[in-house]
Amino acid sequence: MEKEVSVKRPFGVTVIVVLQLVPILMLAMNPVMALFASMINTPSTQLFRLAQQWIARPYLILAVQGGLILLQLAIGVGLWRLRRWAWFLLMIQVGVGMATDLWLYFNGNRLYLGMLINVVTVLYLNLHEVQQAFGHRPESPDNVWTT
Amino acid sequence: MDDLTLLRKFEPVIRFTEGEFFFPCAVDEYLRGCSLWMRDSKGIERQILTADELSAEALAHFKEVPAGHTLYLRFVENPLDPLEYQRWLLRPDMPTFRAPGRLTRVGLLSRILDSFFSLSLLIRGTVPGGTAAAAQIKYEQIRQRDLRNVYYGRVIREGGYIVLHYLFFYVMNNWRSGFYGINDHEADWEQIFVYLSEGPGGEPVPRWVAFASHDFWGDDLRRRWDDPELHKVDQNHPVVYAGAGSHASYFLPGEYLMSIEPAFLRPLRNGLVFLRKIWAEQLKQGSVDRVDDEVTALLSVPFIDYARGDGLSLGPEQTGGWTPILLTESMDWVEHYRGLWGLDTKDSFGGERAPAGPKFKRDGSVRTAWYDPLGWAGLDKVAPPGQAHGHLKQHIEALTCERTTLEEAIDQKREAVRRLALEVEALRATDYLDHLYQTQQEQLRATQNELQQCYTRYAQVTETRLASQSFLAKLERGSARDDPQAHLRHKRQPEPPVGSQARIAELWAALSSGLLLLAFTMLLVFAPTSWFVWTVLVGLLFAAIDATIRGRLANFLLNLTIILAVITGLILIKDFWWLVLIGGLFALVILMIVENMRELWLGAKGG
Repeated sequence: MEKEVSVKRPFGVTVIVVLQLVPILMLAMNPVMALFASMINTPSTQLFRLAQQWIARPYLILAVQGGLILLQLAIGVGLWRLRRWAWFLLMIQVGVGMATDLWLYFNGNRLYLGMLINVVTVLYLNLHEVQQAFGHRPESPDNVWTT
Repeated sequence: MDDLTLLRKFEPVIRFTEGEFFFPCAVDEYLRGCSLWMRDSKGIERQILTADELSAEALAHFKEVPAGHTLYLRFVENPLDPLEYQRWLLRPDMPTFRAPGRLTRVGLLSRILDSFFSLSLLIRGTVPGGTAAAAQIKYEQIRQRDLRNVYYGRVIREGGYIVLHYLFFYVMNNWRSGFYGINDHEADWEQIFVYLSEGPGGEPVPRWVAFASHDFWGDDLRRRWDDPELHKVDQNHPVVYAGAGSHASYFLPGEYLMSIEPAFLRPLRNGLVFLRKIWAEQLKQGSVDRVDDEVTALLSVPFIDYARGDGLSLGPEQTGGWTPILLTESMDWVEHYRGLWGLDTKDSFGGERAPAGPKFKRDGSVRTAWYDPLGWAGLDKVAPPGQAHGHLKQHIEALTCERTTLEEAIDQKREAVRRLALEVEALRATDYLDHLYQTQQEQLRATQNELQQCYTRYAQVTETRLASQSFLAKLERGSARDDPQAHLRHKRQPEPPVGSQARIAELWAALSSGLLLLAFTMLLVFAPTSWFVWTVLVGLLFAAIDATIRGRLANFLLNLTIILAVITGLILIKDFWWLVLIGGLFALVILMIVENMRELWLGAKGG
């Protein structure tokens, strides 16, 4: 039987897991904040518009946000346990984020902080040691394009 | 044992691929079907001998040609026209050949390069269409007159080895037109070598085998006789798997991926390799393995050499046996004719020009494999097994002698250094002998250097002697050379079989590069406002479909993410270069201060 070798979690991964909690908390707080906004009834705020969306399509928004929370949670737990699939999902998630940031950048909306965090995250996750921590093995000769 | 008996005893078995047209034959009938031509320095071609006049003896008279002139043979003077060619293709006895997945094995970029390679055939000098078909018809006529399967052989005794050199002549290489390969050319010479040395009882024992192979040279060409990847029939006959149409020799049956790297892409390749090395080695990103191979695969035109071994097999105990012909120095057609053995297409890449004879290269110089068969396969440095033991013993004795000499030299030099040191010390105490002091000090330094060199060499000799003694003990035990492939740096392996998605993948591979170019052309024609975005989107869409069909979507997405990170990073550097510069300088200052403070702190603790 193969014995599981314990690998030390890189510090940067712990930081990324903590950072993963931020959007989860923000998503989880959305309904509460929307409720609060509808109670104080200030139509000019963004929160009020969010509250109206919640009231108009509560199940759809609940499903979407719930799905996103579950995905973020799964990635967070997977990263904490150094699972390769979590590494992959996070890379794809950051990739989607960067594509969006670039689109916004070329349309005049420059979110530099988000861009910087995404670049640092990708370069960090792609480091040899970090890849090895997530059980990355040398590629087969066919996969010539993989970095 | 005489030469012919030796050749017969270890003659190879050649296994061809189903669908092969041409097999090894004698040159005589081929030459009777050829005419001899000469092209002068102005490019004007004229016939020297007609097919009726040409023979091996007649060919031998053409020893020399004026500078700038080229001699060549023509086997096919009238290629089949398109209608005849179609009839030839549809004939009932046409051998079947199925080749799934040449293009499915490589990426989209390589397939686009492949299209350009095909286009290049329009402007390069190439063998005309219908030539291979006409050659096959003429070859069938030759076979009716001469049924022999021939190899030419020579035996060379050199450096403790007996080298058996087997040469095979084919009337045509139809790799491109018959098997989607790189080139076609009239006439084809292939060769293999078997290296023997004396066994314990004085009888010749096979030690190594070498096959000529695309892109390989030296050590990588040869295999040890006990290599499990060297197939044998009846323990004495090495098996060669011949590439379909190309007739290149392989040790294992299968389909081999060959790549041509276009010369004009070499600077781009070198640049990419450099960047990839920085990316992988300095920035520690991704994988560090096979950076060169990855980039080469990306920018190469792919071809498959089909050496399946599922067709006709020639040799001992096979469908057809060999007729050996011993090559001797009295065979003037081998020794003197330096021209080409088939049509000279003037192809600037050389691939579509016929080869020269068994002894010569196209430029008329003698082939390395002919005059130095040991060096050609990297065997000049390898003593035959029976002799290795004696060579090593002699070497150890020489090292022991050198060691003793060095010990004596060290003693003498040490004495000299000590005497000089005392002299220098004495001279230093006297003010008015300064010049002599300087000279002797210089002498002391030089002698000290010599002593150090003696010590260095002594250490080297001692270590080498120990290692040699250890290796000798292993040789005596017979365990020194356990790994038969230890000498190989590169090993060519057959490609894995095409996967279950082959049909879709093949369809996509056939259509994709054309469709992509069409999509880009449409963008040029319609010129939309955001043309750049559209171009990127179309490229990404095709790459994504390609990756999905080839089962590499995950890799594609990861690479895309990394490319996006690089682009985003470059944008950030562009927009904040001053901040990056100041931040870098600031970090440097902090680093310097921290280092200096640490040194100060450690110094204070130590003091």
